[in-house]
Amino acid sequence: MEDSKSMVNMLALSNEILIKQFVKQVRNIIWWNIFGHYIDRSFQFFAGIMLFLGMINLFLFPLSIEYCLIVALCCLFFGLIFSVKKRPTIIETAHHIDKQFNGQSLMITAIELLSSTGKEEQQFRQWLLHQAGLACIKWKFQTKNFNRYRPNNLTALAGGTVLMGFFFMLQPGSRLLVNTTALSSAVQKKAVSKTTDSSSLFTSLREESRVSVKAEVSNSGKNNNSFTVANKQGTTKKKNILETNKSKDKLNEVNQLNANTQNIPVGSRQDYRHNIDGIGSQADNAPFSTKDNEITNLRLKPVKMELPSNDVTHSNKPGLPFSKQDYVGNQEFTHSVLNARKQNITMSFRSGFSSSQQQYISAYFNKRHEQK
Amino acid sequence: MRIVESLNLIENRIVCFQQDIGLLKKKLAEVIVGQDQVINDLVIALFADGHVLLEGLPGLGKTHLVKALARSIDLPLSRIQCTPDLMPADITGSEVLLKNHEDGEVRIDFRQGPVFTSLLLVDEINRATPKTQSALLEAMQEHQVTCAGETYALPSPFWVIATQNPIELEGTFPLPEAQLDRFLFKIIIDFPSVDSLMEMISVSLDNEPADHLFTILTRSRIKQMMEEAQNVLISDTVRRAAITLILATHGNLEKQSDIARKHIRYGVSPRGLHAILKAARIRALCEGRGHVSIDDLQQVALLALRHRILLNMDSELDNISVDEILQKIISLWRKNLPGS
Repeated sequence: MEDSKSMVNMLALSNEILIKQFVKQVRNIIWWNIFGHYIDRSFQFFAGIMLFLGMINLFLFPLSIEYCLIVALCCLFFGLIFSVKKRPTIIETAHHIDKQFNGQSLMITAIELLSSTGKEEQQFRQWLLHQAGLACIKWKFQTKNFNRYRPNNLTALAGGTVLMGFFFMLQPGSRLLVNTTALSSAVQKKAVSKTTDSSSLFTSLREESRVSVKAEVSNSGKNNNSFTVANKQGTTKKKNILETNKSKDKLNEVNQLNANTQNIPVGSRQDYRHNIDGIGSQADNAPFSTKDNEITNLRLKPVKMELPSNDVTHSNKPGLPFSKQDYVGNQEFTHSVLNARKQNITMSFRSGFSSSQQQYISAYFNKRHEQK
Repeated sequence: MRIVESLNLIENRIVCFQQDIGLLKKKLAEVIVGQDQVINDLVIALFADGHVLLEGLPGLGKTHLVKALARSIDLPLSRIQCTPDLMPADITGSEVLLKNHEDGEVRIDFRQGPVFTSLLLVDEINRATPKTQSALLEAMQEHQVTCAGETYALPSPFWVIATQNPIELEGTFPLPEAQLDRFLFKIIIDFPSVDSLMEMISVSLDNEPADHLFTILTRSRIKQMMEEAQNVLISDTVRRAAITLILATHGNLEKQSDIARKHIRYGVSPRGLHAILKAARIRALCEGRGHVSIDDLQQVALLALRHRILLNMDSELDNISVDEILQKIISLWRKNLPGS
């Protein structure tokens, strides 16, 4: 206590100034604690959202990186706003000081005395301010170990998660499920020089024209399997290809087939190309690669499927490969587009199916090619 | 220099208050063994200029405590043993016809009852009829007695310490709410621990320790201490916290807890707010502080509020005590205070 008194004399500060300075200092410390806490939390949320969106991009459907980043950065922004709004008032700081240093409401009373103009209770006023001033000197040394917020391991984990989420976003995403490498190169070479995204090309084509692909396959003379894909101006319906093949052993066969044909990009499908509506004889020139597979005893029944059109929104919007006006009446352009379409038509409608359906279709075509 | 002297003077006054109260508690604790908390609460209530209702089983030393207190503070003690046939006039006093034998003059004179004292022990107060109990109302609240149109002031300080037995119901009249509200504290005396009983045997088996008590505080000193307590600072934050606590006991107000809504029929009156703040001031001084803290409120809340709450029928049927409900309310109140 004597040390504290001598400190007061040494500092030559009035109790009022001493109290105000101390409360201000503690307030800043508390605010930085709150700031760090909220920023840390919002960073963790940011990481979570980045990861979530990255996973969506990778496994479900492709997302725009810009929008994902904006959504994720909103967390940081809101964290910043909250931390500013949570800045403690002087009274709240006084509460905190009393709680932290077992002040028994000393600082609250002192602060209120400083702010009040009432002349009553003068008898204890000076004494209490003096006590508060002494307490400030005493507690000032303890603020070094004050409850400063330190980032924990979760923050480092969140940093890693952000990087991972960002990496996922940079991936082509669900487009990987369809082998688009050949598609895009073919389109770029033959048809459109200004476009880089082959999937956009086909989605635009599906939008503008009605595409119907039918493939009829007969397997060992037992069953006549037919396969139909149709896109009717935006209405999408999916039917399960295997709706008639319900027995477990058949399903197992198909699963095995799927596993075997997982990496088969495109098989030789010249046998069905003549059945593709709207595609000319140039389909024979398509650069299909052949690969054997282990399809055995595959039985298919005629199934009718329609392409989904929920991803088809193209007309004259910027960023898309070309619009209707670009190729209507332009025969050279139309031919080149149709060539590309014939080569990759399978890809276009496959992108509207689930992965198992796509694999099934690939396997089917390969099987047909093998039988030929 | 003058400011420094003034500060030292105030500090000395607070320290002296603390020492005097500490000495009184210590001496009482030597007589009433194992009831330190009861003694502490009793002293706080009395120096806050309040009345105390002591509730406990027979033989726990209630009367003994009051007698020891009276010896320690050098104040006149009167005792009223309440019975169902006790009349209000037996407490307040009455006008009597007096005849002077020398000159044969007859005159009406007011004979003061036992209420005209500083420390009034009302033993077994719940045995008196409501009519008699209400005779104390004016004395307790206004420190005066009105008889036959005449008002007589009571000495200062005037403290009523009433005792009651919680288990005897036959032939008793529970105190009405208006009467209960006039007591600052209701102190429940629990059974002492084994160690306390052992110590009690060694202290009071063969002699009466209260006989050896001497006066610690005089009347003037007591009055001075009570005046000093009025200088204790209560910040607006603490006042607001006390109000919040009072409102939390009201089941029909907006700012309430679900517990209060569920169990309490009538909450604490504004007189309860006075009681809690007065008691908190004394506690702060006992702790050597010149200002009331939230902790002070919390410590005295149960004592000051438990007899001011009326439970509803459901709580009584469920056998839930007032103390349980109040403790929940207090803990919830403390948790919801700003800065907590």
